[in-house]
Amino acid sequence: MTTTTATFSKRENIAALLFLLPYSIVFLLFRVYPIVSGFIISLYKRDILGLENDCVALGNYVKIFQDSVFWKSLWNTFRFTLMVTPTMIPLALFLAILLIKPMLGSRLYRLILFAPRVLSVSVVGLICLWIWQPEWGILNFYFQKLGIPPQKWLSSSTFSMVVIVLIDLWWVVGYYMVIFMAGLRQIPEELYEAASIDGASRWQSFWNVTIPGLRGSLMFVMITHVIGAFQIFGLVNIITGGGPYDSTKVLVQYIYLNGFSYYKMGYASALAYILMLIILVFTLIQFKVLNKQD
Amino acid sequence: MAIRTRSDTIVQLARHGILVLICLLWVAPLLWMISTSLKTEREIFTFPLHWIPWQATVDNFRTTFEKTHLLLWLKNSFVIMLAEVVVGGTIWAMTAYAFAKIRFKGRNVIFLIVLSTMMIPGQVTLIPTYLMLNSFGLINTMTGVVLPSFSAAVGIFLLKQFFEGIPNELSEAARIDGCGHFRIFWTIVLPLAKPAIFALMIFTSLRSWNDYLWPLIVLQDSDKMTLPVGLSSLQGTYGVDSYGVLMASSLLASLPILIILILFQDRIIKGVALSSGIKA
Repeated sequence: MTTTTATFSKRENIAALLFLLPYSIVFLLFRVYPIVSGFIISLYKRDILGLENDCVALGNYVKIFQDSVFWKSLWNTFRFTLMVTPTMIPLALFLAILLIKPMLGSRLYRLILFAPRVLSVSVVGLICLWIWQPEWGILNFYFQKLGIPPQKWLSSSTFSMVVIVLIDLWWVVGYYMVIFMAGLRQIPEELYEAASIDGASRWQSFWNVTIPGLRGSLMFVMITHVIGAFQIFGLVNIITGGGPYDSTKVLVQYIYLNGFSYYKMGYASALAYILMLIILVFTLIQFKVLNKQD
Repeated sequence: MAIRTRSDTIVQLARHGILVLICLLWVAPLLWMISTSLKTEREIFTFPLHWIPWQATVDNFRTTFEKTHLLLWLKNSFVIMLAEVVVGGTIWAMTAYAFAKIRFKGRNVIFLIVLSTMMIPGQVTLIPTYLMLNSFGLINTMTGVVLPSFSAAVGIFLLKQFFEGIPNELSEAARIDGCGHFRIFWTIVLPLAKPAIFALMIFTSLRSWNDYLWPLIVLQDSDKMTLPVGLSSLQGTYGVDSYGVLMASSLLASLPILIILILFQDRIIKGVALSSGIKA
């Protein structure tokens, strides 16, 4: 019996090796190596060709703390996240609740709300640049008709981030709505019936049945959305390029600029590691806070 | 019961009303894009702004085909997406199978290591990967865009969950019949995992199609660019910078995927929900 189990596991190990071989190669090449190498690069002052490659140890990190553009980018990233996540999630939940009961046209509604999600970031950016254009944009046109004075929107440092948030909402809320709809479907009908027998109002059954029932989806969406919001780049790069006056410059954009515009690869690498640290810290905070509600 | 019905109808009407309003708002940008793409340059900048063009023209579309590489960008995006889904999917399925169904030494530890890399945001690996690919001469190539995508661990995580749900009795029975792991993988586990695999394909396709930062960095020649990168390069380019052309290009770029969405909306949306791990 012992010999059979021994050869069994040797065969298992060989099978495992073969099955894992392809991924092991790409994992080592594109995960392990870059993670380690990235940190090493961050300890150097390096340009893209490697012509300049001086070891500065933690010098880049010190420079980051003294860099006002870094702090501006960090603040902009926070601003974006703080504006977008608390609006996206209730809106997506609201839409999901509206759509969950099948009714005439619900498939069409769902399609329309989800459709922007499949558009590429450039298409979203170009369309919205045109819509929010100060002189010829359709939005200012209608605002004027309603008596609201035309604003500069994307060229104003006060409103530009708000506009980006609104555009992001239009773009992806359908995706989160679909996730919440799947979560809502999992809540057993009996719980709602029990609640209404106990005399609960719609609002009460929402708080005491729906929200707890959605805990899984809510946690998932909240945590992944915050992580995603910290990494916002494409929309900003296409629509405002970080302006005006750096009012929409976000962290990933600053990393991109440093690495591929200024060619300060060491500095950009260090910025990337700081970004990772920040995301890690905030995800842990979220975990702690969300788990406390047990 | 009678009293309830009245308030129910009001609620129903309200629901429809709100949804119709919101959906009109949601679809308006796309309609405006179509409207602008069919207008002449002069008409675009004529007040009052209007939705239906007075003098529709296909000039903007013609300019798009003649002066931009839109068709090439569409082709590039499609090829890259196909490669990422097919090759990536195969690699991830094999890896997930090993973690789920093969008992080997150190399985849990290795899986945890793979899982922990999921926490690392892509920007950290951006520069080192770029420099490494540069030394291999893979910058400005489609291969360079595709290769790093295989290292993503999300697919492995999703598939492993699903594979673990497939009862072991099935593979045990096949074992007794003399099947090797590959046979079991190919003929038993994969067919049973179709929903998860489909969901993963949708998820990966969407991510690949909309990927912006990495292709932006890797691809430098206009004829090699993917759709998002190419479209964004139109801004400020002489001859195509007019909004009529930009909207026409955007429309042509979005048409294929919108058509696919409309045709397969049920399966796609179900796949999206599944890939967020809700069922797990």
